[in-house]
Parts: sequence; structure tokens; C-alpha cells
Amino acid sequence: MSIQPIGSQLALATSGGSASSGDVDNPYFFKGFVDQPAVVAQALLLIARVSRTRFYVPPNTLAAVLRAADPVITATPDGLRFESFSVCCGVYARLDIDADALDISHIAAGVTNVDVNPPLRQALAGLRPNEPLRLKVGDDEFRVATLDEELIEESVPLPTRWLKGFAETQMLFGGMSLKHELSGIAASQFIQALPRSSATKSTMWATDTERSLRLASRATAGAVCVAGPERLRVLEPLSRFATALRAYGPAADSDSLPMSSAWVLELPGARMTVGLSPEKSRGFSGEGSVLTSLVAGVEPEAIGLVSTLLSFESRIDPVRLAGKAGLSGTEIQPILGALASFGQLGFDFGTDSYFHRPFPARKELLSDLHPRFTDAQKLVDDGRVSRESDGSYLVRSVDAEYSVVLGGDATADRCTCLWYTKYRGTRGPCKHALAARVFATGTLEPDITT
Amino acid sequence: MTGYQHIWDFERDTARLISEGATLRDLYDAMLTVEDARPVVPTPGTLRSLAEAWRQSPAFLRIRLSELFGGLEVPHTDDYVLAMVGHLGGRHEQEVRLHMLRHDSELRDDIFWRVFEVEGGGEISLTNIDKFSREDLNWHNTVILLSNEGTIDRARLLRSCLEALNRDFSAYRAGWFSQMYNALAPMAIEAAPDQDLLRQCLGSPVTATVSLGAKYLLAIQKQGLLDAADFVDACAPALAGSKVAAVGILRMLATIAAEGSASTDAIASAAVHALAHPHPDVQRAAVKLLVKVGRGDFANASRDALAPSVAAELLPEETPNSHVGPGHDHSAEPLNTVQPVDQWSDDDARERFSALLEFGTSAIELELAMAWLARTDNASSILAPLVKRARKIDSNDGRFWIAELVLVAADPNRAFLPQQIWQDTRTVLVNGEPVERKFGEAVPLQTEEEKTFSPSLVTRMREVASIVSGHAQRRELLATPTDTHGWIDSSVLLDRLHGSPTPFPVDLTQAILRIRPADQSGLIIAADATSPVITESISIEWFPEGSPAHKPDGAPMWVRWKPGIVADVATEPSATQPALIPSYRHTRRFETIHSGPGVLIVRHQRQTSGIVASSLGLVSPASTLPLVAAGVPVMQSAMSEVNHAAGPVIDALASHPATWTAETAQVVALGMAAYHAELRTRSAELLASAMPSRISASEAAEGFAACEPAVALNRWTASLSDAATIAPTAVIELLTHLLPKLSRDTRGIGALLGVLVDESIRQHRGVNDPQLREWLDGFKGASGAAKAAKIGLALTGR
Repeated sequence: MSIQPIGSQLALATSGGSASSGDVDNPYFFKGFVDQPAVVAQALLLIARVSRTRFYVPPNTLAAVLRAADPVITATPDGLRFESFSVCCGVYARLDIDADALDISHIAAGVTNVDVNPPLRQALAGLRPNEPLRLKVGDDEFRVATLDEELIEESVPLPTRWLKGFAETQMLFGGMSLKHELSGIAASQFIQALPRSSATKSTMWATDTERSLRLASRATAGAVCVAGPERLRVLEPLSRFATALRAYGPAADSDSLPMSSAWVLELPGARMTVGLSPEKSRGFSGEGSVLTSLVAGVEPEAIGLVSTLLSFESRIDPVRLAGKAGLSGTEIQPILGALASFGQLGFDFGTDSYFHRPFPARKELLSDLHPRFTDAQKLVDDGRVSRESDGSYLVRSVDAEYSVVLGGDATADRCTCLWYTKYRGTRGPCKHALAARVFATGTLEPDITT
Repeated sequence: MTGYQHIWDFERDTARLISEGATLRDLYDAMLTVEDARPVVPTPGTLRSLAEAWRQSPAFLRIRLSELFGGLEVPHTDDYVLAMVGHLGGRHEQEVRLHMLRHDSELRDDIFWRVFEVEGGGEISLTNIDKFSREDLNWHNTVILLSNEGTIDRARLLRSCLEALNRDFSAYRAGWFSQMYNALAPMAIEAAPDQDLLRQCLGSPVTATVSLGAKYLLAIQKQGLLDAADFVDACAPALAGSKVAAVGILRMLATIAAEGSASTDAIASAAVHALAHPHPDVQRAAVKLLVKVGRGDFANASRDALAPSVAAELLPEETPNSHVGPGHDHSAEPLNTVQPVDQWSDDDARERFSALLEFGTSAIELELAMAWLARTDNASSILAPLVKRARKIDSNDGRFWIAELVLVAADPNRAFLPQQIWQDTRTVLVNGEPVERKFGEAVPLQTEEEKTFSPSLVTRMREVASIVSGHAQRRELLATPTDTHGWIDSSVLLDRLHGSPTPFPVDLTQAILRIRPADQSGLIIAADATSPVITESISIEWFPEGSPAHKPDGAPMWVRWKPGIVADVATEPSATQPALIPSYRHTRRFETIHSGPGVLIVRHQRQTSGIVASSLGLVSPASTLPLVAAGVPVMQSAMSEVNHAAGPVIDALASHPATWTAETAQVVALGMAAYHAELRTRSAELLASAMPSRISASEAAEGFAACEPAVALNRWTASLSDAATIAPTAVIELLTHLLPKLSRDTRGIGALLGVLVDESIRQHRGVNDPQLREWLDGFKGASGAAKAAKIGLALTGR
């Protein structure tokens, strides 16, 4: 895999034609037809549409021309994945096409990032019923062929801003569980009944009633947060193909604050996963939940070791991986979460497991992805953290001092800074709490460069 | 030829030159006479700039003329096309655009057609440019004109519009092309060759595009030109869209079925998608079609997904085992249960004040904040870190008073909510130095008490501020609630009175209002106080306000209903009597203040912010009326726009312990017709929880009926359907009492009646109320409402 950092972007490329049997002289790591062309065409349009949509426009901001962030395509012997983020980074979309829904001529492991321009969108939108759809995914290009034409889209660099969002979502997904499931027609009705607009801070909760799934205004046990509910309407063009809709979220109760959620629409031979950030105005890249795991006592060496053992596996078996790494079952899970937070893994609800999707890793990636952690480390390195009493630390920032009290785990840490007062830990720990915990536990920066 | 000093002089003069017969060459030569003109170098950056920011000038003209006559070579990228879209002319003329497209053949025959391929965004797109240009001189008008005169090929234009609509542009930008196509109004014979593209339109995520596709395909079908089989294969996406488009498509399928021009299986496979549509009319049309083509089994298999009234009307009697059992109202969450309040301490005051400053809508926390400020010695040091944030909060922000409390706590010498003074102040040059000078007289502006619906709250805050600034003795405030419903335990109040210096008058008045009514008279005697003035009842009248413009028949274009409160003889809220409700009509009045050369326009309208709404809920735990009187105008405005106080009104009502009146129900009724879905949901949940514990169905129906003229019934339909998922019995009872109070001719009555019918079927309840049956019996004809009435009348004796 080639690593070509270009400014603040990363150029992705494939192995250039490696297969499970070894290197092959083939510019594409996937060639084949899709079994459900109508479904895949609409799904690819959804992925492309999400990538150029801004669901939230900050006030007093003239919406600049949207430069679309372009989908990422991953191929493994188990199938294809297409991922994208909205321009506001608050909506994540992924199409998973299983290998048995593909008529494969060639497949190898690889990752690339391509542009989806209007001619391709037009071709996908114009696909006639029962018309075939052929895909080729390779180093430099993505080709889509219909009966009428073949469209070529070139590979483009992946912005680091997106990389952070990818990392955060996968780690968040790993902590979610299935809360609701709807059949095909019920799924379609639920999607069509979603509001078409909402206030900026609108947060609703998908809640079971005796009759159906309804959007309630308050959280209750078992509810799934749907912040900015109109964002979920991106699924509407696919709803007529849906066989089921599953809703995933973290554990909720009546005191829950807004949280992320994931929605998986089952399609013939494929799955569409849509992730929603906790608020319309908050992108995934601003979430700090991963920071908690970085200071949760995970050994950096262990993270590095496990990283080297992964090999584009589409379904990571934690037990087997733990065995190979010489770790226990309880030790492997936070390591997988940390690797997800570095963009090395994705999480597939369909298989309820992580998959290996390695974005190129370099030393500076940590500071790009998690600047708060880097700032915290700097506070420690500069000698600005001192212990006051058991569990209590003083952190001296540039113009003020902050008292940090460490709790039983990182989620219970408290700080006197205004950032903590405002967000109360809902966006991860502040840099002062991070610094105190780094100081207290001696946590070092993990090395996951490949 | 007269030269130009600046390039913008030339740009401004181009329309005149063109009107005087200038050729393209003449324009180029005129451009060359600009004295300070820099060479035209359209770098990618320049084009990108023109493609992103609208200069509202014909800046593209220089580039194009230089290409034509100056040998300039410019790649015709997407940015080039957008530069043309944004800058081939200004906002208020179309001469440049018309002239260039008429006489520049490459521009007309090649480049122009790229506008159908390049979506644009932000400031530069056909939609956005036209939106902010003069309507009769914009791109839309230009293209229509050129098409009508034959300069632009009409057939190619029609097809290009459809191609653009199928490029998955955003709804906003796609609208230009659907409006253009509709404006061209092709006849069926013109549209028929492009029906492949019209079929693709049916799969668009943009509602207007789907509607356009359906409309013209129907026209094509009526002329016998439809490719029926291809249409049947392609129409399924439109059956999940708007009700009108879906019903139209189903009618076309029915025609195709009757003609036998496509296979029955294909028609049934398409129609079955419509069974999942949430609207009963679409479901009804789909079931009828499936039965007609002999595939009623598809509909029967999806019976549970259909509206019960549709299934009851069109499908065979269901077997006992397929019954959906009746639901129960226990799904409704109980109203907010009472908790003792958690008094502030010095240890948690900063964190809690910070939260109050951030979110600013908890009246209980505000009361506790005031109580803490009144007794602590350490407010200044504890709140010092919040000063920076407090200073940033604007006087129009609902948290302004809270911010001012922080600032006066941090600086006791600061005046609290002083009356603002306006005087025209300008910067003038004196001996070359800028100096601020005041002109005219200083004019006092409205006080905070005059701007709000809760001036007594301002008075109480001033009482607290006087303690903080050292002008009054520290004390335990009297009016601080002892529970979250706003009550004060009478023994606690007596203790406070005994331990307190001379009470603040409004603090005492408010405290008495928070004592349970049975204990009030005794406490008034013990405190040697005066009884508060309490408005015992109010009524709400609704007044129509029509538009200035009128229809041909003389009726106004629109009518908006505004509420007026009929209560006490007073016409303004009182700064000393929290429970006095004045009679008023909520009007917006502007005052123009002149002072010297300056003019200031002031809006006089009492505002209800979130914190005020929340606080009105605590004024009198024994009565919802103070909250209702201020809340009704808030909820009325929330039906058409965002009103940040609306949520706090509903929350305050959910926490209020008193029994509701019909006027209280109006607040909820208006909330169930709000603009934002979340507010409708919260209101529906509140209604579900409040009936019958706080209000009976008959009294609630009175409230709903009273404000019905102001409400769009379709919103009530959706909200009551939602409420029925958690409290079906309550909704049935409400509608049983409400519907007979409404006119049968009211728009949307059929769908509202449909909710009653559907829920009655689901709950196995008969429609037995005599008044309701009489009302249902009055429906005649074959309208949807009449059919629903008929089904309702058939539900007897369950």
C-alpha cells in the first residue's frame, strides 16, 4: 500500500493487485457484476448524495460551494464496502455488498477513495430495471458500466478531516447494541413518516410502543436517539427494497443526553448503514469518546502488536486474534476500540464484528485525529500537571489553573474548566482531565504506523 | 469612443451599449478603452472565485470577449460554466445575457448547454442567481424568451431540463429545471419522445421532480402515447413519494390494467409498493387496484400495515386470529412527578450557574440561583470565571437576565438591568482626529419590565440584586419553592418569615401564591400581609387578520388568526402582582424615535423568552392561567415559525400540578399544530399524559374547538395519530367530543375523522355517542370524509 500524504490529505491506494494467492499483475482489485443492479445503483447514489450534503449550515455562514468529500471503497474476498460522510460530518453512510451478491471476475484486498461526479450519478439514476451493472475498482479509478456507457471516476486523496470522522464512528458503533427491528413494510412506513425538517437541536428518540416504533421527545430505557431526524430520510429511496430496518444505539434511560445512533437497512444482497451524530450541528469528528479509551489503561505496545497481526480481515474474530497476540479476551476488546479510533478498523453490524480497513497510518496521525490527546500529552511533558491529593490534580494552562478530580474510570473524571462545565463529559474528557489521567497512569502514545 | 476610467464603469455601461446596437466586437473595443484595466488572466483561481462568489456584475463578459477577440484560451471547465452562470450580466438587467447568447454562437450552441450538467452550489447556481435577481430579467426569463424566438432549440431545451433533473442535483438547485420545464409546458406529443427521462424522474428523491414526471406521463397516457410496459417497470419509486403523485400513478396503472397494455403480474408488483405508503388514500387506491387485477391476496397479506379503515372498507372480514388486540393508555408517560428541590451550595453554585447560563430555561434553577445569591457571601469569587461568558450574552438573548445576575454578583457596583438610553452618536473628524459626538437629546428606552410578560420576575431579581450589591441585608428568600411543582411548605415559609428582616414586597406576594390555597389565608394573617391579586378566570378570543392582497372574489389571499386574552380590567402585566393577568391582544407596534439627526425604530411587543415561560409556570401552582395567558400567543406563533419559548411553555405545563381548564387545553392544541415536529410530538405526549387526570375529554375538546380556526387540521391529524400510539382511548374520547363541534366542511375534516375511525376499529370500540352519530349522519356524497363517516356509523355495539 502506498502512502502519499498531500498536505492535509491522504492518498489511498491498493496493494496494486495482490490477491490471497500473492501478487498479481492486475490494475483492479475488484471486477465483477452485481446481482441486484437496481438496489446497488440506488445505494451508490445514496452514498454519493450523503458525501455532498450539508445537513447543518452554521448561522451567519454563506454556504460555500460544496466540494464533495468522496466515497471510500474497500474490497476484501468477502465483498465490497462503500463509505462516505456528509460535508457537515454528522452523517455516515456505508454500503456493504456481500460477495455472494456479486458475480466476481477478480477480487483482492484494497482500499481506494474516488470521486462520484454528475455523469456517474446520472448513469446510476438512469439504470433501467433488469439492466446489468458492472464495477471495476482499482488503484487509480473506479469504473461503472451499464449497457449504454462506461463511466470512469478517478481516485482522489482522502481529507484528514474525514479520516477523523471515520475513526470516531467505528469506535462508537462498537459500543452499540441492537435495540429495535422493523420488517420491510414497517421499515418503509417508519422512514416515510420521518419529519422533513427539524430545529437545529432537535433530538427525538425511537421508542417501542405496542403498535409501532414512534419518535418520542424524551429518552426512555431502550430508546434510540435520532438527532435531526430528517437526516435519516436519506434512506427513503432505498425503502422500497428494504427487507428490514435495525436500530442500534448505546444504552439509554430517562436521563440520557443526545447520543449517536446507527441504522442498518437490510437490502437484497446488501446492507446500508447510516450513522447519525448526537446533534445536527455536531459532526462525528468532534466526538471525544475515543479519548476515554486512549487513557483507559490500554498498553500502547499491545495496540501496535495487534495492528501488525491484522490482514484485511472482513470479520475479525477477537478470540482468535487475542490468542495470536497472547492476550486475554477482556484485553482484546479495548485494543480493537483503540485501533478503530485510529481508522484501522470498521465495525459491521451485519456480522457484529470489526473488519480491517487500514487507512495509511503515520506518526502524525494521532495528533491529526486526536489533537486533544496531543495537547494533554504536551501539558504533561511541559510539567504543568501536579498531584494535589489522592485522585486530585492541578493542571496549569496558559492563563488559568484547573482542578481535576479523577473518578473510578475516565468517564467519571471532572474538571473546573468551562469546557467541562458546558459539556459535562458528553464530548469526551477535556484536555486537562486527559492530562491528569495521562500523568496518573503514565499512558504513552501508541505506535500504530505500518 | 469615450473611454472608461474603471472596469466597473464599462460593466455598468454594457446594457446601454447593447441597446444602442453595439456588436460583440464593439463591446470588446469599448472594453479596451478602460484606463486602469488589468489584463484578463482567467487563472483557475480566478474562475474558481467567480464560480463561488457572486459579484452581481457582468464580470464574465471580459473573459468571453477576450476569448473571442483577444486570442485568450480558457479551458471550459465546470468553474468556467458557473462563472458564466453567475456573471453573464447583472442582477437587474438581461441585455448582456440576451445579446451574448444571440450573437456568440459557441456560447449559445456549446457552452450554454453545460448549465444543465453543472450543478453549482452556494451563491452560484441558476436557482440562486435567479432567486436574487429581478424576476422578469433572470435566467429563467432569458431562456424562455430565447426559446420562444427560436434562438434556443426548444426540443433540446426540454430534453436538457429532464436530463438535469436526473443528475441527482439537490432539491433547491433541481427546482430551476422543473420550473423551466413546466414553464415551457410541452404538449403530450412533445413530451412523449422523452418519456424515458420522465420515467427516470419518478425515481428522484426530489418531490417536485417526481410530480413533474407523473404529470407529464399522465398527459402522454391520455394521448395514447405511453410506453405502458416500461412505465409499469419504472413507476414503483413514485409510489413511496407524495400522496398526489402516488395516487396519480395508481390511477395510471388502473388505466393500463383496463387496457391490458401491460402484464397483470407487473402491475401488481408495482402496486404492492403503495401498500406501505403512510397515507390511507394511497393505500386505498392500491388495494382497489390489486383487487381489480385479481391480486387481492397481496393486499390481504399486508393487512396489518394498512389503515384499519381501509382494510375494513375493502378487504374481506378478517379472521379472529388476525385481530390486532386493543391497546392501553398505560403507554403514556406520567406527568412530571414532584421532587424536593436541591438547594444550591457554594460548592456547586458555579457549575449550576454555568448550566443555567448555558441553557437558560429552568425556572426552578433560577429560583434556587436567586436564593443562593441572597444568602451567600462568596458570590463574587465563585462566579468570577463565568464573567467572560456572561458579557458575551446579548440583550436580545433569553439568558440576558441570568447573565446580568452573574455580572452584578461579580461587580456589586454594577447597575442591574438599568434603563437603556439612546442618543444619536456619530464619529466626526476634529482637527483630523476621529471623535465621538452625541447629537439631539437622550431618549429613555423601554425598561425590562415593559418588555416582558413577567415584570414581577424582574422586580424580584432587582430585589436580589440589591442584596448582592450591598444595599439590602442578606436573607433567606421567601418565595423559593420547596418542591419542583413550585409549592412552598407553609411551615418552611413561616420559618423564613421569622428569620427574615422586613420582607421584600414582591418576594412575599410570590411566596403567598406558592402556598396551598387552604393554608393561604392563615399565612397572610400570620405574615400581616396583603392578599395577592389573583385573576381567577380568563377567556381567549380569536381574531382574524387578513392579508392586504385580495382574491378576485374579494376574499383575502390568506387569513391568520391571532389570540386576545380577556381577563382582568388591567391591560398591562403588573410588576408587583405576579398572578394578575391583564386583558390584551398580542400586537406588534413600532415606534419611531427622532433625536437630532438620528432615527431609531423600536419594536414594542412584550416578549416571552424561555425562562419567562418557565417562570410563569411557577407563579401559581394552583392555577395554570398565568402560563396559559402568555403561552397561547407563543404557541400561536410557533405554528408558523420557530419560537424558542414554545418548548419551555410545554415543559412548564407538564410540570404544573394544577387541574387544567379548556383554556389550558388550547395551549396543547396549538402545540400539536406547531411548525416543528418535535414540538408537536411533545404536545401530543403531554395531552396523552394529561387526559383524564388533569382534564376531561369534553373540556379538552372545548379548548381544541375554540382555537380550531387558527389551526391546520392536517397537523392535528398527524399529532393525534401519534398520540393514539400511546393513549388510544384518550384520543378516541377527545375526538368523540371534538368532531361534532367542527363544521363538516372544514378542510382536512375527513382525515381527522379517519383517525377516530381507525382507532375505534383498533380498539374494538363502537361509535355510540349520539351527538357524534348525528354529526356523522350529516355527511353526504362520495367524499373521503363521507366514506369515513359511513364506516364510523357502521361501528356500533362493540
